[in-house]
Amino acid sequence: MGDEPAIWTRGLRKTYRSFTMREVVAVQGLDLRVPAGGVHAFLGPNGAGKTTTIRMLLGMVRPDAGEIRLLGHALPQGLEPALRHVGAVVEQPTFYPHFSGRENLMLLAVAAGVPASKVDAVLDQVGLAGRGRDRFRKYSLGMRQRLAIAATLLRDPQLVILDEPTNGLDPAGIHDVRELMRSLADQGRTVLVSSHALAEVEQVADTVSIVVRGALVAEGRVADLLGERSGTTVRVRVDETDDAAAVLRRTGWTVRDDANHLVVDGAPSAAEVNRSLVASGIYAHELSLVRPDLEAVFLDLTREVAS
Amino acid sequence: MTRALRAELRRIRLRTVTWLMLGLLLVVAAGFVATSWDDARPRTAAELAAAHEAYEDDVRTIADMVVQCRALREKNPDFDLDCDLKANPESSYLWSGRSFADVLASAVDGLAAPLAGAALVVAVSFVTAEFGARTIAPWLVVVPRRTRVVLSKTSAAAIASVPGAVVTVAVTALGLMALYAACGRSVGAAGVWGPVVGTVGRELVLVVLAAVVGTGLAFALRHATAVLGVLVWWVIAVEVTLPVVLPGWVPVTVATNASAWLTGRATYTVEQCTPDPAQPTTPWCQDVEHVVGGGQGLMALVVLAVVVALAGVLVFKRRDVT
Ligand SMILES: Nc1ncnc2c1ncn2[C@@H]1O[C@H](COP(=O)(O)OP(=O)(O)OP(=O)(O)O)[C@@H](O)[C@H]1O
Ligand SMILES: [Mg+2]
Repeated sequence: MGDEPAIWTRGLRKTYRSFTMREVVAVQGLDLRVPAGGVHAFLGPNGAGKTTTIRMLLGMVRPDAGEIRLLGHALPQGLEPALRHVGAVVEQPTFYPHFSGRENLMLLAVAAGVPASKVDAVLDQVGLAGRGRDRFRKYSLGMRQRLAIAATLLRDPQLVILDEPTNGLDPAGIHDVRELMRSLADQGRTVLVSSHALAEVEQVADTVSIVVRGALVAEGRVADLLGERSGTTVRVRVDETDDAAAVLRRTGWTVRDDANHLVVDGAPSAAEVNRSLVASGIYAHELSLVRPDLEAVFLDLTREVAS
Repeated sequence: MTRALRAELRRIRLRTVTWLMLGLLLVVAAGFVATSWDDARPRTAAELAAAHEAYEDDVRTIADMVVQCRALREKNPDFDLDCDLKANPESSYLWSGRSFADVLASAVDGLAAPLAGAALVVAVSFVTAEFGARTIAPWLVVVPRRTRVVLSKTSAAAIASVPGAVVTVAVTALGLMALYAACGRSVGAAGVWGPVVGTVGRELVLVVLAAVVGTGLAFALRHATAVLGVLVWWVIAVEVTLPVVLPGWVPVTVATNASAWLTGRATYTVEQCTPDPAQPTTPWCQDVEHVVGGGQGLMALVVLAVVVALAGVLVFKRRDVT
């Protein structure tokens, strides 16, 4: 596929209109670029338009404006050939409650021209092999998520779209989903995973797009995004808290009191903080670099856009 | 057969509603057989005795009448009196129930409405259940073309309605045959099956059309309750009220067209008034009978089904699936 991204959108817009003529702008001019291969996190707070975007990618919702290219096919004309290589879960897993999990997958498999053996294989892959014959209605939330993920794998997709897949999963389940996403990416597939809980995708995502109120606010490699957004934060424990704070503020850094520690923002490095303290005759018991996380970056960005 | 259709047939076969409706139809079939008991059963000794007595009574009465008649004729030779009076044959004094052919024909006629109704319910719920469970979303990932989604679901509902109807008719026919045979009545009269097969064929067409209407309504409205609302509205406004208010519009009712299609013709009367030049205030009115032919009935039903199906396709193609 070369450099063609797995997903590419430009100027994507969607306004929902209800019968009462109330309008909700869900997506406004979204430019999304998901490189082929790897796990791409699609982040945004509740109501940011993630699910709506995914629905537009899958042809379920008709965009008001904008272009979409999916696996090299321009939509809507190329929807059918593109979706042949896509597996997706949109919002919650939806299956027929009175059919077994396996039967639900069988129906999709028959429609997709996939042999029954593949159904058992994907059930096994998500750890549902023993429960496939139970009715879907009797599944726990976590089992439903697993079944939905199994459904996406039926056709050996190049692109797997998971909309908040860890919703309702226990820690072991979250771990399993992460492993699964990683292994799919390692097989050369592209995984688009939407989430508002950052901690869970931060560890697994290679690249990320952050949307707020239906528009892109940041994108790139997770590592770059973390580096670019935050100066170094250093935690210091000293005896002379007030003196130390005064010294460090004089240097132009921001200092907060946090329990017995001082939290210093804006210093170029931990060594610089140490040097300033020593120069004033203050010696630190403890000096540690606080690793910035995506959560902080995300909250920053979200707040910026909101204000 | 497309893969989508194969999957839809598999699903409709697995649905509880499908089997529930077949179960109800079989209850109806059993009802037709059970109510034919009075036609089929052997006559009781009391009935035979009563019939014999009535016959003997008549024979006696008639013999008296003949005597009186002859006496009258002799007195008035100019009168042309026919005194050759005879009692009806004794067999006519015993109501021996309708024949197998008659009972079968009327039972098969009576199955038309239940068969069409069951096909409609199966088809509507087949599609609304999909929207209700929101399984339409994952389905669209596998079958992205909306027209194909509608076509495969409609075809599945239509195809599935046929074996159900055939089984119901077969159970009814076999039940009646068994009943008549058990009662020692003839079931083999020539020409029994020809008209029945014709009726069943026309009913199958009706059943398929009902399935098409059902999926069309469901795709257009998405909720079973909305479909039910529209159906109730149609029955009240069009089937019941319209013929009363505007008798000339009777040919748009489903009941009239279906009955025309099934029986070959349906009639309705419209009062036609022409001004009477002699009495300008009170026009001269008379009831004029109109006929809806079988072909016209079928045509009207097909047009209705096509219009509803197209509405379903258009709405489903245009509306977002969320
Ligand atoms: N079917 C719909 N009709 C009307 N408005 C809708 C519909 N679906 C979503 N919206 C609105 O569109 C906006 C975006 O919703 P969307 O579900 O795409 O957000 P999201 O990013 O997926 O949120 P979450 O993280 O809560 O899942 C919201 O304001 C929502 O209320
Ligand atoms: Mg969502």
